[in-house]
Amino acid sequence: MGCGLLAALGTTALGAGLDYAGGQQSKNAMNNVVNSTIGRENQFTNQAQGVFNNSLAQSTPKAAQQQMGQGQQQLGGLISQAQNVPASFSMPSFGATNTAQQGVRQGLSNQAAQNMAGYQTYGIDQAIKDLQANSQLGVIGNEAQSAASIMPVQLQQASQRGQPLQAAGGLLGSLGELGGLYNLTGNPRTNLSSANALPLFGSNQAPFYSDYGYIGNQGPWGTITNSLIGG
Amino acid sequence: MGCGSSSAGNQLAQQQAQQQQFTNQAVGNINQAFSGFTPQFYNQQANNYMQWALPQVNNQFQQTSQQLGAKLANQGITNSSGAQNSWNQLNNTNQLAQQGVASTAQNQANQLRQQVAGEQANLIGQAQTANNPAAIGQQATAAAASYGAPSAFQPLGNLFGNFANLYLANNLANTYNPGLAALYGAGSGASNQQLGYY
Repeated sequence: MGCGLLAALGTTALGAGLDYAGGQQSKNAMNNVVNSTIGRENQFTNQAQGVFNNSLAQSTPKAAQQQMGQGQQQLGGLISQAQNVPASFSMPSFGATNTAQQGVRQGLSNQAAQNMAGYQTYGIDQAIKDLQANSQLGVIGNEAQSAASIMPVQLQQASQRGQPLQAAGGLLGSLGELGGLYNLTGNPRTNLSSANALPLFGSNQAPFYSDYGYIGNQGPWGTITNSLIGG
Repeated sequence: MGCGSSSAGNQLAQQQAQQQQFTNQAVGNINQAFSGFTPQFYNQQANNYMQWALPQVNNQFQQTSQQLGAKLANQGITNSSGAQNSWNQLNNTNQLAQQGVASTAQNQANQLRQQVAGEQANLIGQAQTANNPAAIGQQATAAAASYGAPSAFQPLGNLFGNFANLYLANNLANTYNPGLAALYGAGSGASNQQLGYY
């Protein structure tokens, strides 16, 4: 096997190698895109989970008690403020018993109003808390969706990353094939052994080459003999 | 060789990063504009309502008390158990009115809290598609300023109207009046009916 054929084989092998390397490069780039997208989406997921967990932490029975207590306390303060305003008109007193009864009755009424206000405040606090959490989750979800939406384009871009190498590999492969063909089809300048060499030409014949290499011998009248095709 | 899609991918990624930056900036501006809505702010709103409403309650209470005192004196039953009951009812009505003002003040503050939170969420929703964070920030500032401005409260109405109907017009009208009884004759069957229209 001559050096030319070996070179051709080497070139073909190099072309195949480059083609494979290009494919691997594209594959790695696509994997990177997928991993990067998954990483980003995981970040968004963690962000969203943080928001949700914070919101959930404000929905516990303890938080509910606290919010109701705040509502009760707030209304209690306002009622005290309102009922402690000195009246411009003093009512006649009808005795301590009557005053005490009035006080007890009013205290119960105030307490009932405060309890009701506590429930209302709890409901409003929860609604506002949910609204804010939903708003934050909306922003995160929108960003996550937006980030994921560009993945197909990035994947396409990554799939083309190895194309230069693949093109070079394809070119080298083609050259190697041509070289191999050239050597195997009897190039006179190859180092094939003389015993295996084809009878190329006689004393009055000259070798005839086409653009693709040796074809046969050409006689003095232009006839091609000893052709590889069948002459 | 893939140049078109390559630049498209990068361009999309840049656009997405820029939009995210705009959104974050706009949300920051919104939160900044609404940072003044603290619990103290809402407490102040409740207090503002109290300061507006309580003098009216006091004024109505004073007028109703004077009417009741005049009625009782006119009936000559100032120190009667019926008078005591009327004063008790007036006192209850007054305290309920004060309690109602306090509840309304708290409701006003809560309502404002809901409105502000709703507006903030609405603006944040807009911020996600905005490409001008400064404009969103200005919008948020304007909205926050509108909520921070003093608002017109609903008129209180007649808080003692129910008491007046029950205890001044009807209840006391049926109370025994010695002067009228003497005029129409004690024990006459028509006296009570006529007193009922007094």
